[in-house]
Amino acid sequence: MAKKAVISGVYNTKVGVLEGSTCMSIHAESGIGAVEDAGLKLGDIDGVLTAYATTLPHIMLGSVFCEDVGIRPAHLSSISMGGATGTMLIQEAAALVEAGYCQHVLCVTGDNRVTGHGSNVVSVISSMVGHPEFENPFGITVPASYAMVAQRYMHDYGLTNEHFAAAAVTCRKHAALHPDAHMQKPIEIDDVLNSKMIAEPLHMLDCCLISDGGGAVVVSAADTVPDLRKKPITILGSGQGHTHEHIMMAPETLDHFGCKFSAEAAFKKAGVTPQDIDVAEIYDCFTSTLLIQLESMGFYERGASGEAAVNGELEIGGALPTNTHGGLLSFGSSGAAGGLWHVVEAVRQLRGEAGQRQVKDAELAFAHNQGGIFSAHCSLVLGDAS
Amino acid sequence: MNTPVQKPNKPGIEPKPHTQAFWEAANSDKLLYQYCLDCQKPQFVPSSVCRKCHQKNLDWRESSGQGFVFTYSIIHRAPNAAFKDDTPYPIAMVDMAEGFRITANILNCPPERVYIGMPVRVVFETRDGSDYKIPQVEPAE
Ligand SMILES: [Zn+2]
Repeated sequence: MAKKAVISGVYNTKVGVLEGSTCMSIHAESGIGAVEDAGLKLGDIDGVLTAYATTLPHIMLGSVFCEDVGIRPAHLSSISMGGATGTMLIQEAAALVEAGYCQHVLCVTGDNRVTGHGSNVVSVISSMVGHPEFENPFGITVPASYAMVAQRYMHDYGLTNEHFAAAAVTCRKHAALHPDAHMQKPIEIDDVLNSKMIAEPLHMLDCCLISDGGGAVVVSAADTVPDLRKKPITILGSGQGHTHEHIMMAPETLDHFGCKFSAEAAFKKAGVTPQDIDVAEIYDCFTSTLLIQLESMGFYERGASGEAAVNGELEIGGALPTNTHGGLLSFGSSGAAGGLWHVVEAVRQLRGEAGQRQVKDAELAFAHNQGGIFSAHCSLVLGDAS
Repeated sequence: MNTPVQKPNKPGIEPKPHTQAFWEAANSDKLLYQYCLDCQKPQFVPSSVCRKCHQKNLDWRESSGQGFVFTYSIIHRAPNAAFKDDTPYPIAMVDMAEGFRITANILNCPPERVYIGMPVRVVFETRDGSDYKIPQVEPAE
């Protein structure tokens, strides 16, 4: 009989421009913070999983972290799957716990993308993502790659710039309720539509932020619950989906991606449907990414998520409260930490710790990360174990 | 004394063993694509194996150069200084008549004229600092 895995601790640093921070100082604060939140000591951690960091492109980031904070875990690895890494760390940690390799696995992420890269950040990230021979020679960018998907999706299913803008407005409203969020100043739909064009049809305020910050999650074996400080949250289901790396190689209609498969697998394992979800924390590197994924994963019919966003359905108090911390669009985005914050928020909602952002009676949460250009996906269904 | 500001070159092409033939053909204004003799299917981007049957029975075929814009974006914020003077410039995914997809800029076309479904044809661009011509597209109508 496999052991059950629960989420026992979560943490996020302040997010924004963190002067004096380094990639490792952010990792240390995050890791120690999550372990304390769980009511554990660093010495209790027998497994560590890290992501990658663009400001510290080391081939063994996990070893760098463990050396830095002074731990010698029995199990250690680093996963590098872009924006999808956050939820993948949780899925991997759960597998280690369920297979009996570890009791307490610390998943830790962080980057100081603003203070670490300076004005180079756009070219640093873009050059990593495009195909070196068949995309980069054409001056492709990350926003342009997502913009091409958005353009076709608007053409086929009728989503509009106003729909996308409504998603940005919703995320900003939520971020205003989170003391650690990067951007809190309220915005209106017109602010999004009037913001600088980046890659048509995407404006500046359709794009996620670039932030410094980190986050961490501790995954523990269910039989350690008596040692834990907070209400454990159960990982009820998880799944992945992978279809391509470069957007020109994606399934050719550009309307379904690995999120369809990752969500299906996670829902099936959890024995629930999208309609059962009380709160959704979904990777939103662009407003269009959020809406297209909501439709691809079965939360809305094709073309219907836009009106839902305009009508406030994605707001706290709406039918499907989404990105209740503000998401990558307004809470912040810092490499793999961006996605992990979606998990951190889902856990806080299920614990009833979300304060002003609390979704009433939240019992079932969905967290989804994706990396590349809709390339790699990992979904989680989380529930209140009690 | 004023020193002219040197604009950096756009990224050059570094062919791989399985893309060498493609880039050499581009220098003769030919757009090649791979064709699996077992599956009877085109594939692009080139690979060392067929993505359907995973065998290596691949041949090169020459495209007519005719295609349609499947989707596009107009880029206002360039990835680096080499592309800055071109903004706003179109980038598109183009579905070629032979059933494969390329990415290209749409040359000789004001950005506001680009639309989904627009017929285009391949043209070859010579670039400073690149040993190979770059396959691009322009309006076909
Ligand atoms: Zn084949």
